[in-house]
Amino acid sequence: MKATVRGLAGLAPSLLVALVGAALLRITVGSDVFLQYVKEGLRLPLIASGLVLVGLGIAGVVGRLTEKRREPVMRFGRDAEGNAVWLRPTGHDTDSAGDHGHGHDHDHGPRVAWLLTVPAALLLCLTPPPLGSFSANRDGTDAVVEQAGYTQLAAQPAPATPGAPASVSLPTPMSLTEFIGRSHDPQKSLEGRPVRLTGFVTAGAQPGEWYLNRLVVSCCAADARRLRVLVHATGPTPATDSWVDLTGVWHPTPGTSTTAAPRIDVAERHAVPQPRAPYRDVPPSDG
Amino acid sequence: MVETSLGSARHLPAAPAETPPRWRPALLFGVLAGAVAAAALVRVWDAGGVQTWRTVMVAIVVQGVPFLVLGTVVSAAIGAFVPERVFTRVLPRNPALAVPVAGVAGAVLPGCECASVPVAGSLMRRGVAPAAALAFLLSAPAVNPVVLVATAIAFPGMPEMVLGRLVASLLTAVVMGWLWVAFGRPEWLRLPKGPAGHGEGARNPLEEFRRGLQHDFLQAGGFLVVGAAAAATFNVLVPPSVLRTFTDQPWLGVPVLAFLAVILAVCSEADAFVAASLSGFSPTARLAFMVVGPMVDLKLVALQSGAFGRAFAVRFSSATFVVAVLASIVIGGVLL
Repeated sequence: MKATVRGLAGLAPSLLVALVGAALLRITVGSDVFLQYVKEGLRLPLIASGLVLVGLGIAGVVGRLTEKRREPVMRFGRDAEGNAVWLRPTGHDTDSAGDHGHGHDHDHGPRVAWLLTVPAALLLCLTPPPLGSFSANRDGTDAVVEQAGYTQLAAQPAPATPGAPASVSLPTPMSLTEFIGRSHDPQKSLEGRPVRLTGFVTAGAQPGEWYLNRLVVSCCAADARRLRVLVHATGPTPATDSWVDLTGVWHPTPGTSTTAAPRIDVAERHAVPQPRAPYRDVPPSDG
Repeated sequence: MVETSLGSARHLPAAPAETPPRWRPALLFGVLAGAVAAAALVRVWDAGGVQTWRTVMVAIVVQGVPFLVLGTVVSAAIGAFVPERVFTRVLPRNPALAVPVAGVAGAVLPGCECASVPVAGSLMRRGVAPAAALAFLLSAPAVNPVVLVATAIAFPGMPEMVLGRLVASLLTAVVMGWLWVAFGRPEWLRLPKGPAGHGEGARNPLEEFRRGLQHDFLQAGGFLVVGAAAAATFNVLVPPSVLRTFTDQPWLGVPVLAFLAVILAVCSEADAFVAASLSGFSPTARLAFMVVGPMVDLKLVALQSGAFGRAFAVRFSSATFVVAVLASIVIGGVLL
């Protein structure tokens, strides 16, 4: 009876490895949850390591179960002094002569490993949301925006349908990076041009103004930097952390520092779902 | 193996199966403390800071695990399939000569620092001189091709930054290896023992590989979580605007960015992009950020104390920090 319990406890490290692997597969296969933490390029490495870990865990469980069945009850051998002795295999024969350093539990693998259950359980059950207003409200995390290198905007975007009157100017979809970069453009390429931007909302200092934000990451969410635009609009401020798609015109604010958020006067806006890749600053695409 | 002689006189008693009574109050206290902590956690679970902490902690783990798997697969493969004589033949017998060879060899493993700790441990198990294995441990994440390409992309038009990073990192790794040859004491280093370390004769190498992989992954993964939690705590508690006050003093910039590299624990493939975004600081300070980051940071100290013991990790990391900062100042002064 005791041997059975100990045998089951020996399965725990393998099950833990498989659990971590399952968590990785859960956020990458048929799901884009991993984009809330890391960049697109890590999908294949994550799937590969998920498969390796699940396979390793299963191999451990299978190996353990079959080994239990095949294991001899007693074996004949010799001890250190050369006397003939019976050697009795113990529950976990690999670790019994192992090291006695801290962080080790001989029957259960390294004890610190149990901490892995925290991120694994979070990913499997309580998926942490992407970063939002808390990170965007912190000063000193502004992303560096290239101030040059944009192509000339088309003088007038082509009308969507051939019959439409040419005088109606369609808004230009733009990423926040491009909008902020162009707001410093000495040639004023944004002047009078309606643009469309997408981002999430954080509260502003005064009523009637709020911020439209994007967070961009270079590796994982730990190094998120913010991009933000000051929005002037009538009507109530949308809920903090909600995603909106807005159309408006750049409002030059001479005299403010170059690091201040550029201002946009918004004509219309509507709520949109959170984009698939929240940290990739791309222009709004759909019609 | 528990030895049992034919006569019962030499029977070694098995470990007591029951929990000793003196542990019971401690266990009860632990359960109570856990319940209180859980209740407190439920209350603040959705506060912005806690939410951000969860996301950042999980993000660092998700980012690190693929590289950790790569590193543990390599280290377990070295342990299980590569015979010892290969290393003794490739590396010079004299540790002082083996150090630079191992430092340059670090370029072979394109992984982040999470990967290099288990590999270095596995090298030591296979009889490589600790000084050479440590030089490899430091140089592998810092001078591999992936990192250098990332640095070139992050600093367009500044090839001297890539060169500076290569030279300063290699210099730090080799100097640390030599320092270990000169002053290192074996008792500081708890040599990692493999899960299958005691020779039971011919064990199936595939089974040995599986056991090694599982043990190394669990150990390093646990310490990755420790480091990720520490880095996430700093990320949430220390407002980034504090750093702005240091931007104006150029001489303060180097130690400040070196310290920042330690607490941010960004992986080495990505730290160049972070360094590029710290535009208020001098190029030398940003070089120090990139040289220190892959060699000393919170998660790395946690991984090292898991693999080699706390006494080693504290001494080694603080010495590496000093050497890396000095190397960055010298190389930055010459090149940048």
